[in-house]
Amino acid sequence: MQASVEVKDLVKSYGSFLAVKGISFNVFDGEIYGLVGPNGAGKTTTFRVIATLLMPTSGSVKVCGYDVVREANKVRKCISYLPEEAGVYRNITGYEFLKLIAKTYFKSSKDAEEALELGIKLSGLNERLYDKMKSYSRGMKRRIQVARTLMVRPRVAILDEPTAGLDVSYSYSIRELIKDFVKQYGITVLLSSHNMHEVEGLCNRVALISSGQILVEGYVSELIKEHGVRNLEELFIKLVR
Amino acid sequence: MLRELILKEVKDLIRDPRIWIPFIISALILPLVGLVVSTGIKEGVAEVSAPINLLVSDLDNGFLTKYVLDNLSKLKLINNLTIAHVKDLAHLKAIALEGGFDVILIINEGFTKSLLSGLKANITLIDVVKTVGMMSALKSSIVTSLLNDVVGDIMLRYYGLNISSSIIKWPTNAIIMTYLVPRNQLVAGSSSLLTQLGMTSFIMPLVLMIITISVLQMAATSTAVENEERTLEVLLTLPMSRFDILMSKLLGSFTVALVGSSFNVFGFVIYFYIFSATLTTSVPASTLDFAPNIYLIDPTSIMYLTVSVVLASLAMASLGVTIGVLSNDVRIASTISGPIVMLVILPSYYIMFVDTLKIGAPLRYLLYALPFTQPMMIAKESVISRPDALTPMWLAASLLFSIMLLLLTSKMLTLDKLLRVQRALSSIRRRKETLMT
Repeated sequence: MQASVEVKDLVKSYGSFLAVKGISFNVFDGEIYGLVGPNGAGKTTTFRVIATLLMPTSGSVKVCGYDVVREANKVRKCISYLPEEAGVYRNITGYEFLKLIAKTYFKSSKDAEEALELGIKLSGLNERLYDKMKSYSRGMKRRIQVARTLMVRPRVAILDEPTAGLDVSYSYSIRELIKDFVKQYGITVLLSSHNMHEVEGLCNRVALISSGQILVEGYVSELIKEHGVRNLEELFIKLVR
Repeated sequence: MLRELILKEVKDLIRDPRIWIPFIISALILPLVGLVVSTGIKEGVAEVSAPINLLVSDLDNGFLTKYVLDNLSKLKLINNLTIAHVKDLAHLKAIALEGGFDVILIINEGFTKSLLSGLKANITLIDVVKTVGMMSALKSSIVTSLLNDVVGDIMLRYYGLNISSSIIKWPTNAIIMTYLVPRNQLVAGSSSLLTQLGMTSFIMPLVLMIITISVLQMAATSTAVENEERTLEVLLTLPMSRFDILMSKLLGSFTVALVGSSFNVFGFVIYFYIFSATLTTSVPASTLDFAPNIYLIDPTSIMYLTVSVVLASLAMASLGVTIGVLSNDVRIASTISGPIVMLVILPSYYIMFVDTLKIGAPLRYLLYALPFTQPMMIAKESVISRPDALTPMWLAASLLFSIMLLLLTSKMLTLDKLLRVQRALSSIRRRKETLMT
């Protein structure tokens, strides 16, 4: 299988603080890969490096075969990134926002139109899509951001805590949306979460990360079996303690 | 791609009431201010040109005094001339208050005798000021002038000369003009009038400040909002260059600011044009290369000035984007914007007081090239001379300045660098706040 994301010995420091301490992992084409860990584990920093927002202190990261430092522009063309706390433009409607994204990614108006239609469908906001986004609830804002991330059918979608702060119903709908989308379009998804149950239900493979280091990595079912635990949460507690 | 982002920027700004309400308020307030000021001036002029109620205390009681007062009472400017022979000042004040008099004229003893002896006569004038207005104390001057004319005419007739006293006082009809050497041009009025025109330069930094503060703050806050609302992270991962992202910010906020401040710009230009048009003159052609009815500030200079003010706004928007990029919230952006605007406007005050034609070449060219000082240089030199011959080149330099600033800022537009700078700025602010508390 070919790797869409290759992270090798990645180190990232902020001054004297080491946020990521030499982690390595590969995400293969068409899989949903989860980076799991508590707050401050280094998940967001790792994602920001992969999304070309931060420069690695050392190590290498390749996305779609392109180096994130030397070929950042090419990387940006094949990824779509959903930050943990992505905000919205207050005075722009959801529809205008999706249209802007479609036109930013696609030169051909036919492709842009298709992407926009997909975005409208993914958002599920119906007539509320034509309201200014400042009037949206937290869940609606997250839905429009997830739709924005997926509608361009990126080769790699990077989703940082896609359901953070959402109620059960919204979290469920977003999880289903991601699952269905990957099944239909076969894109690669790299997601992070500190919700172990969510990851268990979504991901093929996971890496458990704590204090900037990967504790274990592998298929969810194999990891559970291997460590003799009932679920990922128990595994995490076992490893951290 | 860029077009879409600019469109987003314009929509996001123009739909925000916090952006357009100040424009509407200032558009409504400016005519109101003009109305209030002009009403005040009109009332002042009406007050001073209204016929005067004059209370005269004739302590001389001579034949000349009677003749003078009789002539004075026949003048249109004197509404009511009442004569009292009261020496006591308190009593006079009481009469003036009761009768609603504007001025008290006391003709001292010996008035007639002094004049007949060829000496100056003593009088005392008291302005009765009920409220302090712009022209409330001018009426005694009018009475003095009228009295001098009347007495002068009577004295000339007394000595057998049948001419007006004004011919003795002002025997010539002088037409005063000013020759502007740098422009080889004649202008009506004394050079003091020109000094007054030069004083209009005082308002240039103020006008610039009004226009540019709004542009800078809009650009700074709209960029800082991207940081604050956490939309910047998404923007930076879109498949477009950092320069394009900043350019869309610049052009978006500049467009909105330009629409909003266009009233200020055109109002100012019209003001300048009207001002120069009032100082036109026509005199017979002389040895000087003089064309009649030349506007003091020619249309080309006004065009340069307009372009320069627009480019200064663009530079301010560019500076605003830079400030916004470095600020992780709107509060920091506003805190930084204030002192930066002051710094940017400061050199204009230097230009205001200095003789720009005598400034050394390097400094002069720098002041012409910098977008923040250029409008001031053009405005000042348009009055006395003509703007620098290389002005089109300086205008291009001003545009280049904005683009270079944006290019430099785009180099900083990586999350790594931003986080470093923003952390430093935040710690400065925290330290400042700790010191204040």
